[in-house]
Order: sequence, then C-alpha cells, then structure tokens
Amino acid sequence: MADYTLAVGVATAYMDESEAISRLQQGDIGGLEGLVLLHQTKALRVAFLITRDHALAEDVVQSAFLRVYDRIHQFDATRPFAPWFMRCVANDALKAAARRDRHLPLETEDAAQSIELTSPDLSLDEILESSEVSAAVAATLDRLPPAQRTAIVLRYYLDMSDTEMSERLDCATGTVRWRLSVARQRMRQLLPAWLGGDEM
Amino acid sequence: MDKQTKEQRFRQALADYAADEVSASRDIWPALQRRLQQRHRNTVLNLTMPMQRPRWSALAAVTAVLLILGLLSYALPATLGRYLPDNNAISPARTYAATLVATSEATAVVRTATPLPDSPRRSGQVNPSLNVQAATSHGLPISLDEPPTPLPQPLLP
Repeated sequence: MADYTLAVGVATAYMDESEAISRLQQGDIGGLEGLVLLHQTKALRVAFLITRDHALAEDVVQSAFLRVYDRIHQFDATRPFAPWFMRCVANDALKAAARRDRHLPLETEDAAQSIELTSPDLSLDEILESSEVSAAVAATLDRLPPAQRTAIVLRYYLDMSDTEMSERLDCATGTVRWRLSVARQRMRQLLPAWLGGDEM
Repeated sequence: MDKQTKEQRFRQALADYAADEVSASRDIWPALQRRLQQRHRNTVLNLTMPMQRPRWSALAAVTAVLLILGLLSYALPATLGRYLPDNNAISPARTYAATLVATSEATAVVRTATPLPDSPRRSGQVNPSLNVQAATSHGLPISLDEPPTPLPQPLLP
C-alpha cells in the first residue's frame, strides 16, 4: 500500500482532484490526466482482483476513464469522485469477467496447482511470512465466480458496507449478503489454515 | 483467532497481493491518450464519410435530391426565358398596332371636339395636341418629335 500512497502523493502535488474535475468539465484534457494519475493504481488493482487478468483489467480501467471523459458534465462536483469511479470500475470488471468466464472453464490447471502450495499444517504467521500467501489468495479468487469475487473485493479491499455494496452493484442488500456468505464458505474451504473453524 | 483479526489479516493479504500484481508505477495514460486520439480520428472519419452509416447516408441522399429539384424549379424558367421569346413582352409590331388604334380613337375625338377659334375645319388642319391628348388618355406611347400623321379630310356638311 505504501507505493500506492506515494503515487497518490505525486499526483496530488501535480493536481488536486477537484481542480482536475473542474478542468475536465471545461474541456481540458489535462484534467483527465490528473484524474488518471490519482486513481489509476487503485482502479487497476480492483479490476485485476475481479477479472484476474492484467490485460482485461487495463482495458476495463481505460474504458472507465473514457466514460468519465464523456460524462464528466453529469458528475456532481460536490460529491467525492473515487467511490463513484470505483463503482464504475467494479461493475465493468464484473461484466467483463462474467463475459470471459462464459467462454473459459472456471477451474484451470494453474489454479488447482496453486492451491496445493498452501499447506494447512502451517501456522498463520508462517503462511503470512511465506511467499505462498499471494499464491493462496490468487487461487482462492480464481475459484470464486465473478459475482462472489466482486463481493469479496468490495468488502475486503474497498472496505464497503453491505448497503454501499448494494448501491454500487445495483442489487438488493440481501443479494449482497448471500454472495458474501457463499464466498466466505468457499474461502474457508480453500484457505482452511486462515479461515477454517471460526466464522470470518 | 477472533473474527476481526481474521478479517484484518485477510484484508492485508488481499492488499499485498494486489500490490504485488499491479505495480504503482504502472501508467495507463499513454495508452489512454492513444485511444482518445484514435476515437477522435474515427469521429472525424465518420463525419466526413457518412456512407458508413446507411441511415444517415439515405437521409443525406434524399435531402440532396430535394435540394437539386428545388434549385432546378427555381433556375430553369429563368434560364429558358433568356433564350426563348416571351409572348407577353411588347414587341415593336404590337407597339405600332397600338399606336394605330390610338390614332383612330384620337380621330374620333377630333371629330367630336369643339372647333378651335381658328377653325381647322375651314383650313382642313387638325390641332395635333388633340391627338396627343387622346393617345395619352388611353395610356399609349406618343412621340412628340414627329408630327402626327395627317388625318383624312373630314367630311363637311
């Protein structure tokens, strides 16, 4: 997270978010560049966590910024930009992942091999210290359907509540809770050393 | 381990994994700029080549046909009128005929006019101003430079 903070700091020094939005609303393309510098890293990470594909994630984020460029006049400048933009990115990433998963099998060979690297016999500290953490998280995310993966990312990466998630995903709160519950059950099976036993 | 600790650890693991996968130095602005330029070029191309849009090209064709028909209906009569004789125009022959009619009517006026003190009936002369008055009252062109044609000798009782 430190490098993300550094990137944001550099961008903030270059241009403030409200100034960037104001410039973009006046037709200045430099305003879009300011917004890209401010939000691209987090948006790319959100899109990647949902799509599990670097190229697809970049395409999703670029398309989201293009939509910002087209619809910036509809944006209320008094409201924060980041939640609105992250909602767009998460929705687009979910749609893109669902489209792609219609043509690809959900469980691939790589995912099956990655999950085997995580040994349930290790303690939590040992797992956190090992290089297998990333592989375990990646394999877990790979095995979740896009909708459940999006729910996990919004809750545990963007720290959204159930209500915020239901607003962002344009679905009922009950649907969000159900997706989270199913995703947690699946994660407990996939990451027993971390999440087994007690409910997360 | 309690629920909050587990959640916190998972959050941290997720954030670290995302940071490992997507570097903060990654910059999508150049690619985004290229897409913007490409889109701008495509927009200009679509504006200059409406054939790529069948509905718009059909509408443009219908508008062009209507415009051409309108221009033809406006310009054709004026152009043809320049080269073809106009039946309504006053030709020299018609002017001459109208003058003759005016002269005969003026003659009739003279016949009924009151004789001047120096009576032309005696001398056989006709006051030319009577012809002019008669012709002018009928709106016909009369040249005062040339003397009017002498009228036939009136029949005296």
